[in-house]
Amino acid sequence: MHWLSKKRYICFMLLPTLLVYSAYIILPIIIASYYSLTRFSGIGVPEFIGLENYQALLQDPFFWVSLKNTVIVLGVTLIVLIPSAFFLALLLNRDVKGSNVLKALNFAPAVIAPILVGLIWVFILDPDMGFVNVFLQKIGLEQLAFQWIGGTTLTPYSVGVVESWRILGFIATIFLAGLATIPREIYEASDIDGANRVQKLIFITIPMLNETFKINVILIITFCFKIFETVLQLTNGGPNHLSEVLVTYMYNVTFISGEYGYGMAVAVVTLLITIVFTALFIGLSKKRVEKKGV
Amino acid sequence: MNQTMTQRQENQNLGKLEKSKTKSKIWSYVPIYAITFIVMLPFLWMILLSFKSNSEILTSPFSLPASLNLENYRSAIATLDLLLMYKNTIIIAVITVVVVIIITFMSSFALSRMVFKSGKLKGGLYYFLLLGLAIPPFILLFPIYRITIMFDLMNTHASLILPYIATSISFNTLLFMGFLKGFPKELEEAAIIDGCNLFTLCKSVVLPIIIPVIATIFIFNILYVWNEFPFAVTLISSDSLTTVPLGISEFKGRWNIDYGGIIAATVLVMIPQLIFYGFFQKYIIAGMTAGAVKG
Amino acid sequence: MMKRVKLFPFFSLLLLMVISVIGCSNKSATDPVEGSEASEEVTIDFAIHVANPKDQEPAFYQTVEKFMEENPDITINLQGTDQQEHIRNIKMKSQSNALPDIFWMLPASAQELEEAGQLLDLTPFFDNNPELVEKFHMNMFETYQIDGKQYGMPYQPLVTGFWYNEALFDQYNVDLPETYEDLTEAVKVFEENDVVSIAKGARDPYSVWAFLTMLSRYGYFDKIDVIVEGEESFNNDDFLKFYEKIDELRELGAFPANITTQSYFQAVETFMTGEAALLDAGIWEAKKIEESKLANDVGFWWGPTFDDGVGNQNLSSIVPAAPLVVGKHVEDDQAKYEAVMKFLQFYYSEDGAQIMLDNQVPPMIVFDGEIDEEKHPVFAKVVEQMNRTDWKSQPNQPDLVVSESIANALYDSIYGVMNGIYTPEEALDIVANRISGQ
Repeated sequence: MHWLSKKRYICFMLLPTLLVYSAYIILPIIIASYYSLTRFSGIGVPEFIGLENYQALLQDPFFWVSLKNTVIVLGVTLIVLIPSAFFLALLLNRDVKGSNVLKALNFAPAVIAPILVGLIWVFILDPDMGFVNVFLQKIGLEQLAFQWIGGTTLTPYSVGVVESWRILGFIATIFLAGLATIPREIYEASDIDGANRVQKLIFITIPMLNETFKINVILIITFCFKIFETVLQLTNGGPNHLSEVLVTYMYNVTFISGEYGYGMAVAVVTLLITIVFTALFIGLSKKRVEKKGV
Repeated sequence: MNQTMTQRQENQNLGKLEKSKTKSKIWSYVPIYAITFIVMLPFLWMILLSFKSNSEILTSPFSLPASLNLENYRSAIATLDLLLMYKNTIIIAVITVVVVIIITFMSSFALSRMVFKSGKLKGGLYYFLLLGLAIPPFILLFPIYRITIMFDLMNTHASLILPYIATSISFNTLLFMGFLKGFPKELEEAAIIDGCNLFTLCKSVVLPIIIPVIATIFIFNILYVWNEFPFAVTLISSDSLTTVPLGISEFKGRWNIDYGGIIAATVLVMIPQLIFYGFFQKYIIAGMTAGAVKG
Repeated sequence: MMKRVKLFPFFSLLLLMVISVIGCSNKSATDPVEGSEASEEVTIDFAIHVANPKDQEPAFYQTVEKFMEENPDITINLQGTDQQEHIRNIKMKSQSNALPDIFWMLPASAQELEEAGQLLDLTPFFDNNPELVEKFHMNMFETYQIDGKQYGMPYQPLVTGFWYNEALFDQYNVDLPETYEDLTEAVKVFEENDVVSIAKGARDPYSVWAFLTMLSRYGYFDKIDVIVEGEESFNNDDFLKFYEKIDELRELGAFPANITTQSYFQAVETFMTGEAALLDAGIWEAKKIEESKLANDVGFWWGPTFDDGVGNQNLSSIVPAAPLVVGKHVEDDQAKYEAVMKFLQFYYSEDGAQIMLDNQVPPMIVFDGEIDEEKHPVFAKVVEQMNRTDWKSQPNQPDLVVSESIANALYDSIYGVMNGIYTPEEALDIVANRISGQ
């Protein structure tokens, strides 16, 4: 490989990606960071105010509520989604009749317009007329009929479940791609050794999918920090911003209340928190691999 | 060569598989159908809703529709210029995806396979390219709008293609890099010794191995473009360039929402996507035999 | 060392791009000037706040169609976008000096655009057309003026209050309320009979129109200017009484149990199906009510009067909706300027008013248009209320005279009490803090 790696070649291979990426991703981040230091409604000339927005942010109770909710959504989604998507992928990976159709059907929630995801799940979760609570009351379990959405505590957990439902097929597809890259010979060799299904799963499949698990966890972390439409459609952040997540709060401040500068401060902090979470995960998973590897 | 080998082994295994087939069949069928049913339940219900009037949807969502009322579909088809929307979306999606897969494959290949003088620079560039995953689109809207005006691209397909390429880069890099790392390098080394140049190496040696990954990326990139709303609504103001995701907002007024129309439009927009997904996901698995390399 | 050398040109390139993008807003002012040279054909770009004006804003759409029919040399290119995105787009366009020729905008943002010098002064136009001015309802005309400069005209009048279902009142033997006490008595009866008194949905926080008028009955317009200037607090005794009334209504069970998860659209639907006695909304629902089975049972009410209120309690709410404004660049193109003025002339003429009336939008001008009472009984009832001489309109709607940020705090505070999340005092502080934070 070494002699194909002339600087010229490397530059050629990297340049197109870096160009588009810098102009359309990095440049906007820099511009957003600049606006986060200003007072600006989106009209007229931004007024430079230094770190004032960031100081206000630290004292903004709604920001902390949004952060807390986002972390809850992330926790619920990771716990629900990783095992269920992995399990689903294992099942879909077998040669079942109509598996192509089954795969497409399991993927369906990922392509429903978000406004409908909201509508459908409001009908399911509404504390007063929602399917879940009506059902629980019918079978005599009133004490379990909680305020799934619209209350002061449970909304982010419900959002985590709805989000898991929505992207189950998405994450499972990536697991499927991972499964597809495991060479069959390994399983065949283990057949000869007399390994059973569970042993194969634990000693071959899961270790071989190490990279895929990592990809999915990174995707879920970054995904949960970007959750927007589901919350918007389910509760619109309400009641009174108590179920807001970081991006809905940022959106609300920036575009509904017209405080663009402050909104960009929320955005920049959200970005930094996402990076910290992702970096922590990458760091942790590296350490684990190193420990195991040596 | 590899292919014939695996096929032979498959044939040998066929007999062994036959015996446990009936038992494992039930084992595989029941849970997967059950799960699919649960996942689909809200979705099936949505299809049911699409036959109800707007007021029925809001007031008695759980009852069965009184009759097979096709009014919603009729109004969706009448309101939306579906052909034009599909045409624009397909043009944008295809160009975006072809370009972004080529350029991110190139950069990922460089970052995973080529030798850098500084390992730190290599790692740094990788994480630099992942940064985009963490960015909600709303941060980008304002600056990208200006860039679009600056490049004089307003109301062109390119105004959407460029941001779509940019926002897909991080996802593609994550997937390409993740899977490229896992592939053995022996083949490439052999090819280089045979005197391959960079282009043939990528095209004839590496590309066939990573078909499942490319299929995955291809599917997700297309579906992303197909459903993207914030950029589309910001950068397209001409009716002749309208794209599929913009259609849904046609049913939302200031004081009223036509849920029936939205549901019908969603169903109409979803079906091609599901067919597309069902068709192309085969290649995720199809890559398996092609990519069977000795581990 | 090696690394730094490599990265330096890259980042300097980036920096250059940042500077050029931030700085380019003035450079790109060279808008393509179309139309002036191409014979007499003129195209006006008109950006509006719904995605599908034909179905969502029929009155407006038909006015535009009629205008184009009468002026074949003028084409109006309607750019429809859903409201939130529309406002976002206008703001972005304003930063790039690429505003549409004429567009709908929220009042506070329109004023900011004016202050940034991006809007056309319409004063000369009205000076040349005194007959137009004479006909206007004065609060419609004067709202969008700064220092004697007319920078916008209301898109439509905004008429808001309570719709009531008379059949339900009859069924439970409740008198139609006039005062706040009447209202609480009615709420008690409805609560006992499991009828929702006031249909509301907190998922759409802006849906508090009738309650905003109630706030006006506690002297909002006497105070708001000094409050925004910081000389008085929003947290004052008069306003506290208002929030205490909401709190009392909540305790009496006036609002639906699932108010926090309901949207405005669901609230409307519960009213339409006869499950709720009152609906806080506006004249725009007239058409829908007329098409429903309630058509003959519905009336319109301006809301309760308060014996501890401040000032005139017979306050109705007939105010200018958000304005239509014209981009400053239009004056650079004589043909376009004339076309836009022609359009305004038509929009606010009697012909324009009649088209609106046909679509159940009340006129902004003094005008004896025809209302087909048999065909539009619900709309006629609202117009009857509008014509009552013993009621006078509030000058504007409270949320429309403050910034969008304060307006949203106002919505939050009202719904916060209805939802039972805030006490009246906390609700007052929410708004007060937002005002002092600016």
